Amino acid sequence: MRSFLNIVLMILFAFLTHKFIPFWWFFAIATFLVSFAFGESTLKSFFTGFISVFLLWLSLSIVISVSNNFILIEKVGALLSLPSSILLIPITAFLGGILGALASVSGYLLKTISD
Amino acid sequence: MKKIGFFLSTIITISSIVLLSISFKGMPAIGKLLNPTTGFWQNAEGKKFILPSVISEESIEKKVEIYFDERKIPHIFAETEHDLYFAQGYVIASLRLWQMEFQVMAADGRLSEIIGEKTIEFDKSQRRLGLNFGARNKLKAIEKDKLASELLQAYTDGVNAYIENLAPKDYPLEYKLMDYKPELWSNYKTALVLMNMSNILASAGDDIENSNFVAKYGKELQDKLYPKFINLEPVIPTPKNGWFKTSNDTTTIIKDEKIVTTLNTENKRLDKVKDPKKYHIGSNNWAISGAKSKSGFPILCNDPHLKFSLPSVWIEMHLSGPMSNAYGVTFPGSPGIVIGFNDNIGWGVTNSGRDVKDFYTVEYKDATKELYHYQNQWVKSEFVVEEIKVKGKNSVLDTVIYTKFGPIQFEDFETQTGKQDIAIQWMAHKASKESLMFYHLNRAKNFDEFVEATKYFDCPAQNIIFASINGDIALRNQGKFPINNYEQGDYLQTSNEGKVWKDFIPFEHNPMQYNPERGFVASANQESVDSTYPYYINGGFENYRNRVINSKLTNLKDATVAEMKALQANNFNLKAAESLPLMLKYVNTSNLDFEEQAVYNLLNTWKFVNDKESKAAVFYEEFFNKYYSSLWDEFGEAFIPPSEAQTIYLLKDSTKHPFIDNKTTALIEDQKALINKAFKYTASKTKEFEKVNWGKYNDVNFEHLARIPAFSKAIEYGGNNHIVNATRKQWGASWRMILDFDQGKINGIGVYPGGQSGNPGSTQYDDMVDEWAKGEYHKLEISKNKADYKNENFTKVALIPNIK
Repeated sequence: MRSFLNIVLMILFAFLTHKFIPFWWFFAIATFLVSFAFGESTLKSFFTGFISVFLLWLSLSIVISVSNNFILIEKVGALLSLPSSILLIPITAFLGGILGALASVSGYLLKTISD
Repeated sequence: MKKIGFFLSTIITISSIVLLSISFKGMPAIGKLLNPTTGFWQNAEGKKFILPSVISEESIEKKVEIYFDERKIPHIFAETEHDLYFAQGYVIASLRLWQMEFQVMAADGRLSEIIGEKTIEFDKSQRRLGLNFGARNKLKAIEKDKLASELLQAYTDGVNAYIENLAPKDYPLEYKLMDYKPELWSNYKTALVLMNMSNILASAGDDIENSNFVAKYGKELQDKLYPKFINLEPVIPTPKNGWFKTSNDTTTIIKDEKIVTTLNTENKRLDKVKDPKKYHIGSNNWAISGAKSKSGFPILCNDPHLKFSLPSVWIEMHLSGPMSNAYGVTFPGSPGIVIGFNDNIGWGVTNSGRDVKDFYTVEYKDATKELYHYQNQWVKSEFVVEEIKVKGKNSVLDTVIYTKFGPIQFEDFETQTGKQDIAIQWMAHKASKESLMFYHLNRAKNFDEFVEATKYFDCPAQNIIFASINGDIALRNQGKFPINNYEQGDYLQTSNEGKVWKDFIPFEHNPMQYNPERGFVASANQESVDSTYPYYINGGFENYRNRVINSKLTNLKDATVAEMKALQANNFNLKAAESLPLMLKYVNTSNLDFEEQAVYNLLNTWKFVNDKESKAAVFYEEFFNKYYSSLWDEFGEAFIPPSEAQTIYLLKDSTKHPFIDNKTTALIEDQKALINKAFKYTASKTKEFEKVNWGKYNDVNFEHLARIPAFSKAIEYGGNNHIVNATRKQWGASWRMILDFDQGKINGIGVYPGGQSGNPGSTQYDDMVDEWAKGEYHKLEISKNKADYKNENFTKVALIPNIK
């Protein structure tokens, strides 16, 4: 339950940083801070960080692609020589997830030091 | 232990982010590119319009209203002249920022700043051509002129207002892919846009190749193979009462053959031509008078042909200001409407093709190159150090030597007698204010004001067509041209004997036709005039399209827009009609195999139409090209082979063929053997072309400006060089416009192969390509009544003054 709450918090927080802060990596601060405040374990922090950013980026890229009729994703997929351009969505989400997880773990570990 | 864990994990996190933010070896930074908040995803246009509905800007004087239609064609309504051009700059930047900047970076020789080492040689060549030098000269002229400088400055300020409002996440996609930032625009950059056009349209010069030919084969043979005038239906026919009389004794100047003599005795043989320029021409324009139209009013048509690209070279818009109401297309980066119409007149252009670039071998006093010989005096060379900045590397310095003529375009050019520097004198380098022609055309009300406006247009010379609601039609060959001696400018001159241009053909002597008896005016890049024109002219000209258009227009009666559309899409191949029967006559039909017989029959029954379904067109193209290239293959790269038209002329009467008589040259060819060889070669390709029709073979491709295949678009399409619908590979009608001057109102239709948005993530990136390919047009709405735009088909954006 607490992990679930953490995920929700991270998503909200990361989403807000996306809206207002022009640095693409700022969502990492969000997972870092949430785990620093409420993290439970290294493993749980990893998964909450991963899942939150994964879900956020997944939904952002899906919403963007749908409202764009997949025009741009087709072209960028071809540009990057991907076998299918739709792969860009999971690749993007996975990339964000990993960074979110790493930052989240760092946040939790900082908490263990200061505890 | 815990601390180590924390530090390790933090370092991994930070270094991952850093690594994902750096680009390696031309690959974009993955994290920067892929993240959905600032990366490429942000360039995916959704339902939200690209601009907010209200934008406040400090330098706006009064409220500007902009209505974008479904194609994102803007209708701009401004109450002051300043606001009109400010808004135009703003809007064009919002649609085409990357393209605008990229094209001027290329013209300025600055691509290496964006791309890296790969383009250093390109940048050097642009600077040696002096595109920056020309733009600086033009800028000086503009700055001295109040109207021109205000016009350009308002436009520049508009572009920059847009750039300054731009967040990195909203940068056009290409900036993200190549990882750089937009720079501010400037009036200098606007001047570069025109230099770019001059480079495409008025930069050809065969001086070096012509000199090579005379040196190797002699003048007599050259005159036979490269006739100066074909005298076939020029743009401006000789007036009934002959040409004007010139006040000074031009006949003696024109007949002076000194230049030729100099060549024969002193010309240095040049082995290699490093800059082979091909003529990619295909523009048409014509206007018929009321005598030929059903409505009794003129119809004006124009399809300028340029290199296809995405984003397109043109952007379409409607500019309505306090003193003007104009609709048409313009170049991103160029203020006003370049081709279009207003409430009273319409105008359009084709390239003139007259030679305005001369080449000079420079004689230096010594190896330091500090002094060169000019008019029997030693004159100081000017050394200009060009710094080429290179992405991720140190700058490269390149010294360009300037003479009184202009820059040394080719330094240490290899010749048989050693290395040689070649300087150029080019009309595009001279000070001029072309933007003012468009400014005045946008406002012109009648023929007199049209002519007055063209005074500002020096280079690249154009055939400018005109029609007005009171029924006038006209065509003017407009540009600034030096008065040349006979054949001056056809060959290399020496720096000592060459002259800096001082005398120019007076404006009122430029060829023009106004309301001619024949009821139409037309141009298709053919010779501007015939040999009776009192001044010597030269250049590269078309021989087929002009005759197809003229014959259609001559026979025209009660014409409507439908006939005009058909003529713009006309795929009749006059070149094939004049050459194929002659070629087939030579083919030995007695022992053809099955495949050869089939190809022979296919060609023999062809109606000479290059529609995309045609198979015969493919075989004709192969057949002719094989014959042509094997006939002139000895010429190598130091010469330009004779034109296709001249080749066909010689084919008509082989006894006139100089190489048939001339047994001493190595170029003797047996016409018949050559044609049979070419035919067998063509027939042998039957298998290869089993599934290839002309549309496939024609290979029409709209290539992205940075040559990114994923952002390019290929289509199957008809046409060819020398056909009215002159579409071949990456060249074709870059804009098609038909203006119907019906009962005092101009009804315009048009289309260009591209889209209003430069963003590959937009529906409007290439939406008009299919429209264009199907031969469709859309209405060009020029109504001044804002109420016509206040409906669900338009998106409104207001620029309002921001009073601080």
